[in-house]
Amino acid sequence: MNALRRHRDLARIWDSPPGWRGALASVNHSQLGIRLILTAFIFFLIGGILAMLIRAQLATPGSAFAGPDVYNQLFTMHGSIMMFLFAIPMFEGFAIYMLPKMLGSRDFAFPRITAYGWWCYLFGGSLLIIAMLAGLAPDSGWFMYTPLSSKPYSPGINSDFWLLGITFVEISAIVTAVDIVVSILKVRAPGMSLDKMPLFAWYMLVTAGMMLIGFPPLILGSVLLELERAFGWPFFDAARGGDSLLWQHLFWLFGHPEVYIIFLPAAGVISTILPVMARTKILGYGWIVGAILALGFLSFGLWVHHMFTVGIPHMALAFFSAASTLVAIPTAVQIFAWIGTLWSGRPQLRMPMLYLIGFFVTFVMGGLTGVMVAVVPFDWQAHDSAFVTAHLHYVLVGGFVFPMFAAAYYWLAHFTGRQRQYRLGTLAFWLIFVGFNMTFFLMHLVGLLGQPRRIDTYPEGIGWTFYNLLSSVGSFVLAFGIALFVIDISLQFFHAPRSRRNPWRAGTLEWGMSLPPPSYNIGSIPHVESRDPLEDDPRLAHRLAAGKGYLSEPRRGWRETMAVDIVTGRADHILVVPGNTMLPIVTALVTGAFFVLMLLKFYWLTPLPLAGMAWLGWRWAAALGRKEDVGPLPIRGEETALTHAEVEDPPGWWGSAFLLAADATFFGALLFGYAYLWTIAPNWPPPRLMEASLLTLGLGLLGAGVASAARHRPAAQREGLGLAGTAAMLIALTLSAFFAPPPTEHAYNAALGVMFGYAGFHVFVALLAQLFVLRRRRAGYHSAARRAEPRIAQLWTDYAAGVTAIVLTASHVPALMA
Amino acid sequence: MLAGSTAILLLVCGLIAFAFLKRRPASPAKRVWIVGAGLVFPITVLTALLAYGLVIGERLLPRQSSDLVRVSAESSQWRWVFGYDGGGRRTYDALHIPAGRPVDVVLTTADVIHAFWVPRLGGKMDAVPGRQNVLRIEADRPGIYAGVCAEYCGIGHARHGFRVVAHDAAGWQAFSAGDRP
Amino acid sequence: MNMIVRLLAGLTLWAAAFSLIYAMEGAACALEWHQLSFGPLNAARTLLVGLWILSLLALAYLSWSFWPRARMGGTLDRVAFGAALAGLAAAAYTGMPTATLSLCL
Repeated sequence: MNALRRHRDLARIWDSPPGWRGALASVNHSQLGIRLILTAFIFFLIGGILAMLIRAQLATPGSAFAGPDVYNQLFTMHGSIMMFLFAIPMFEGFAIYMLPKMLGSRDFAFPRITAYGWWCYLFGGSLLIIAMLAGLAPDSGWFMYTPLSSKPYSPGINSDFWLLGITFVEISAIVTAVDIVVSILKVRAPGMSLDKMPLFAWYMLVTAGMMLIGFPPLILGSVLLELERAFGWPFFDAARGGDSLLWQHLFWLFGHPEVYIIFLPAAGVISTILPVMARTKILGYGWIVGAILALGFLSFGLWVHHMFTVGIPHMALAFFSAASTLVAIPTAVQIFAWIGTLWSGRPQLRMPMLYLIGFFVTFVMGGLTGVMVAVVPFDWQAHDSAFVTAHLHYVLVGGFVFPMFAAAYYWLAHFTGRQRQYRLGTLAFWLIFVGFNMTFFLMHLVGLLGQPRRIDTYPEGIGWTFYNLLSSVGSFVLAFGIALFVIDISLQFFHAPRSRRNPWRAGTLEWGMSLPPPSYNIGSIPHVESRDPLEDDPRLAHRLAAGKGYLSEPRRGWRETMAVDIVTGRADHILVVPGNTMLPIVTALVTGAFFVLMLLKFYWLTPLPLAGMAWLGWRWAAALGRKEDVGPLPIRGEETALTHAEVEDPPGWWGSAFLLAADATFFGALLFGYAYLWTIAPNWPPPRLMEASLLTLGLGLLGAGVASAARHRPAAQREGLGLAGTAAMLIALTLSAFFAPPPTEHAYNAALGVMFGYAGFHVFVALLAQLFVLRRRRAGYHSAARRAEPRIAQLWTDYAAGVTAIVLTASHVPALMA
Repeated sequence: MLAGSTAILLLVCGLIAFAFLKRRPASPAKRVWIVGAGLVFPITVLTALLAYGLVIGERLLPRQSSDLVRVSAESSQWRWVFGYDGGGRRTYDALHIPAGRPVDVVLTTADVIHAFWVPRLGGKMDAVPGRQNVLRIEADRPGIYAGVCAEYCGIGHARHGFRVVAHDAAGWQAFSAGDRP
Repeated sequence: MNMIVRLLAGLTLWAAAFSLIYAMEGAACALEWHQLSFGPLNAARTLLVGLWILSLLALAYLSWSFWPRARMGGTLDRVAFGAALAGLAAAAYTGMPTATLSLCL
């Protein structure tokens, strides 16, 4: 088979059909990655326009440009858009486009999930924009502190838009994170052991892992607040045993890791570009991996530094102050590894490098002010002042936006297949750099003079006028710079000479393909021997196109790519990924219907989309699988491998495991909230405890034990015992919920209600999974070789059993003891 | 802190500039960059800074003191009510304190979270529903100090300011005796 | 998979110890354990310092047990050892306030 023939065959299998139908059904990672990047950039521009309106209002004292009601919507939307609708989706899109290419694979592990993630993001983000255009945008700040965001003080629909829209977008972030983790761990080119992975994959692995742990607390917080707003369950109402500080804990438990979740992918971009710009290799690969891990963990120990002024004892503040200074150390390791890399090479001042220098200056300043606010007494002064506004923009714009501009220039040829021609970009850089520093440096000063954050106006004659005016001028310079950047990039899309392959002479695999890349990325999959495969073999691209790697012969119309052993990178099995389908967009629409019904307060209709989602989930799983064993298939020369349907732990198993890890974090946060309210919140103990019963508790625990222990039995028995155990759990939970006091009365009751609901939901999912396995076995989808489906169902059953046991114990035992 | 930060920023900029100016690749070993500059240097600086910050923090805590004055501050949308002598006496949007003596402000809120901040008198503290937070302030000399609400509290946030009037000993006695200030 | 566990072990242990100490500090102040004492030992402080020292011992043991692999093995074995050491250093650093600062103030 020659290269052209191979290209035609692969393209027939991997291309999306033309027209709008193809666009809706596409699950291709390159297309979806580009869509995410473009959508995120549009949100960036919207958020930027809001920022200019904010600066226009603050340019002069006593300005009547926007009233406080409009101004509060402006800054709330600016923060929410930039954090949730720009930064996270932007790096997700970049990772979705780039990771398979860097790892030498043809797609992500779960292409349909990739598509579902984008649709959810698009619909959720649109909800917020619609709210803004209708003048109903959220106005309680991007941090939504209760009780300001609770029903009595924000009676309108504004806060509901935030809670539901952002949760919708978060669903997309969670599923995308699972997709990214499993793809990095399992779907790489053979030979690429963990310590030969490009550094960018390490950064994304840790980032996605952090998303799985960091986002669930916010989702929980949003669910609880929406329950309080919609049904009066008082989680955050101090008068009824709630605590507004619980919201702050849950929010910052997400919110601080979030900053590093945004920074790490950008750092991955730097670690990729900088050695190429310096014509050398990165200094201290192992040190950087260690630093990424340390950042990933330490960043979860900082959240209370957003709460230094809420009245927590000094010793507790000291733990977080120590952790906040400590986190600077792995950051310093990376910064100096990068500077050392520059020294050991011959750095060239090309366009991406210019932005990297902008990054260094800006980010180091942000880091230094970050260390300042980590010091408790300094923070007591600077907290909630314009100083912090300055700090966070130095960190986020320096640490994310500048590296992303560098990435845009570095990889543009990859997206467009064209080379940079115009010199407009240099002028754009200087406008952005100067404008940015002018806007935000002055905010440090005016913050120290006492200007608080989030004020819509300020009086004349207290010395703030001059700084604010200059800041506003700077922000418009910055805006001109960004406009020039857009023009510069657009010109390249439409009007520039074609680029040659590997224009930067880089060593990573993403340059080992024609530009722009075909839908299947590479004609065959390489065997990777080192961290810079293209440096070892500059003609690798041609050899791969000529079919000298794995899976060079397209067969059966399958979309095939290689799955490897996690650590060693040994070829493990062939992953056959699903092709184009309407399932993702339909599921996203049904998910959206649930959120819209919640928003419009048609609560009685919400079971409909929930049932729809259960049905679609069934269809989603049923679309895969085979009724016969295919056995080992050739992958390269004499080598053979099984397909994923016939291995013990296919990516689907890993995906479930990581999704459950995120789910467990959600549950952990819920238990934390329950214990926190019980010990810390005012107005406890509750007026009455639930009616506990040893019998109910025993029934539930027995059911959980049976459902989980059934795994060792043969199929038919396992199914019977599993269903019996699951039914027992369902009964025990229903009885407990029935005898619990009404949720609106006290936070204790409300917390019990959520715990029973959570466990009940998971028992229901386990029930569905078991019924699915039963049907599939009878239909002939299982065999001794095809055994993954029961194992995945058992995973969900075990989780439901564990959750039920914990929930029943945590609810009945304290009430029995009292 | 400012001088130290400026020095570190200049150092980093200088190191980057030199990487471009030097003629040939000339790099010290990995150990110098990563262990020396990346680990030892920040650990030393940060430990010193943390210890300093914690010592100062301990000193600012509201401990018992013989000449302590206790006042209460109840914030609401958008007003401050200050109480003296266990709530017997009230003033609105203006807090009266003696200069040169430590003052504990007991903060409560009637609705949402607010924060008490007088930039020239020290730190800030939130007023959180269902709780009483205590902030220690002290004015070195008599005068009028501007205070703001630092925590975003809705439409009136920007105008939710107040004044602190620090009296000399005689003025404080007069105020305590019930004369109109 | 064992390699992944080793890479995460030290820092996970730090995170667990950090959360536990913070939670116990909150509980101790809420339940007024700092008013209790056993002879010369304050109950809350003994609990917190005890947890701190336990976490240090556990992390020291973990680092020590990773050392042979780090000396003989590849890059990731050294990273795992380094991460365990980082966990130990972080535990020492962030737990120090239990011994030095005032309780519940």
